[in-house]
Amino acid sequence: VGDEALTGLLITLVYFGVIGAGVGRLLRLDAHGSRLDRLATRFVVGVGAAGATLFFLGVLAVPLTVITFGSLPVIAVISWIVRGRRTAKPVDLGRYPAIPTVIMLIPLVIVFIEAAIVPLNDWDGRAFWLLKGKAIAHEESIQGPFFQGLGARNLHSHYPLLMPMNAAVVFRFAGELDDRHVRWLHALTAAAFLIMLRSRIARLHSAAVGAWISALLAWLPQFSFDSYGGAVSAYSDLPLAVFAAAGLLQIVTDARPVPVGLWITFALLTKNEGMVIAAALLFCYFVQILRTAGFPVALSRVVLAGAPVVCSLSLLTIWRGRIPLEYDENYALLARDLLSKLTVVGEAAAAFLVRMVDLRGWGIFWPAVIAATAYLLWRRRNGVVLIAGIFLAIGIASYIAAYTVTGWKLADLAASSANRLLLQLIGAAALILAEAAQQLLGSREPEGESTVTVDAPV
Amino acid sequence: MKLQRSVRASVMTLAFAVLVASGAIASFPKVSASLQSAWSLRDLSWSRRRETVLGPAYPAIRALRRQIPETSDVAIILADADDVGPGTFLNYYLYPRTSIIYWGPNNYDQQILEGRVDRPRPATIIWLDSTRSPVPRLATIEEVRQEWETKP
Repeated sequence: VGDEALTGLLITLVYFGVIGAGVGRLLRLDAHGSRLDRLATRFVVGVGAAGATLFFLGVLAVPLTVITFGSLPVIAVISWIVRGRRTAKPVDLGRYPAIPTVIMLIPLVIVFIEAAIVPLNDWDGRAFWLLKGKAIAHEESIQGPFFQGLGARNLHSHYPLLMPMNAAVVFRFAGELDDRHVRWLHALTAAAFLIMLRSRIARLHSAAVGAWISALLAWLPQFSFDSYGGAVSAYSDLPLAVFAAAGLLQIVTDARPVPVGLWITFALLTKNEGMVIAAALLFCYFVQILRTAGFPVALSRVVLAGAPVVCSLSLLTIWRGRIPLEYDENYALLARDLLSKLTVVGEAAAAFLVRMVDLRGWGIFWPAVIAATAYLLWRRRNGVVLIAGIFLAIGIASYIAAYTVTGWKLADLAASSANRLLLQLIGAAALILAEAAQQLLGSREPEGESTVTVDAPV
Repeated sequence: MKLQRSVRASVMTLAFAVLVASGAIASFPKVSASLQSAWSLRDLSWSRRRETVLGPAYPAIRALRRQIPETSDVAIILADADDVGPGTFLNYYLYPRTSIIYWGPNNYDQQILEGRVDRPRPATIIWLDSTRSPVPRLATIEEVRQEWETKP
């Protein structure tokens, strides 16, 4: 494998793990499950928190030096110490069955082997995302010559920078602009997410259902092995899927506004589609609280959760205003043509939705999600279907609308993007499958509804 | 009741097993390729691994990185539209060198940079014509123009 590859592994684990531990403890995001469950949750939180914080600092023209990068884990450690010992004992989520656990681990081990040995050979990861990471590490800024169009070619210059920020950290601490160090960032994010998802579903339903859902996602080609957006690539679609799913799980298990707002902020700062995901999550959050606590509470919670999202969007807009647009679709402009292009909607929808039955990308995952939705509606289990369904409907409708207005040839666009866009929605699909599985198993009390806490504002 | 629950659990396990199997079958070609690749590369240095995975262009890129100082500006002139991929990756591997991509020598002569004409034209030129060779190489503008004019 070589020491060089392990340098990146060590940096990634420690840096994001420590930051996630501080933020997770502060917001009580890591309060449940086994030690591994909590470590995984901290890692995912750390990836989001580090990238978002560094982006904010970058917009404020703080030099992105090793000292700036290094100060974040120091602050996290201080926050950990100040916050003191955990007061509540972690909730025991039960024992995960061995078979699905092993089934989940096999693809993760394969992804790790590839990350450790095989050089990165993807498209967007090298063409856009990691090049931006290299530029941030080299220029110590997100407003330097590269981003001003005066350095190397910066395609999609307005893409959000959460993952390039994290890549820049790894490049800087590794001491060289070599992508072998950064491969772990994406592989570990995928692995940590699956473990976190398992614990969240276990909390919502049962350990068995959680373990099987994670095993299922781990074996989806588009999630793990696809070099166009999977865990073996350096695309930002998988991190966006992770933050979107984490936000949705937060909404249905523990709907405190600050954690919900944080996950939504991470999604917003990860990819352009994060805007759609953020809007969908905020609406799902509103509906979820409305069902349990009424309109005034729902509105106040959404305002609280939306505050960091609006701040982030403002900073993203300010930053974009300083950066010349290079090679990117201006969807705000294109959206004006939507009404005149309604005749293309059917064709766009077909091009996008047919990918759901792309067996090479998904197996029978999406048909199973559709069947599970029908089953839950028949059983009148409308709670999770409503929330996950809203999320899926907004996501799918937005992507079809984008397909409708774009100037791309639809077949080419669908071939290059549809599976990645569907990947961003897997959190909702996983929730539906988990609910259906629990129904099949014999319904427990509707914990998805009862575990929602609306009394704690933070 | 207990029996019914056990049957239900078996049905759920079976349903998940079928779903996982469908994903695993779909993943098999990629998993197989990934493991074969990792096995064949495991004893090689990172440079040799990249040469194996990225093809003959990579040694040439390494040589270019040695020859061109990091502070230099580089013009990457593409022979045609099919070269945009290799040109984009050349841009990636040459960083932090400032590389500017031109679509043919005429584009370079006219200093047309996808609508941006306010940057000086780099003197160092890398010529990329994948119809003749996947290997990028240093060239003068005269050599580029000559090859361009004799393109098949």
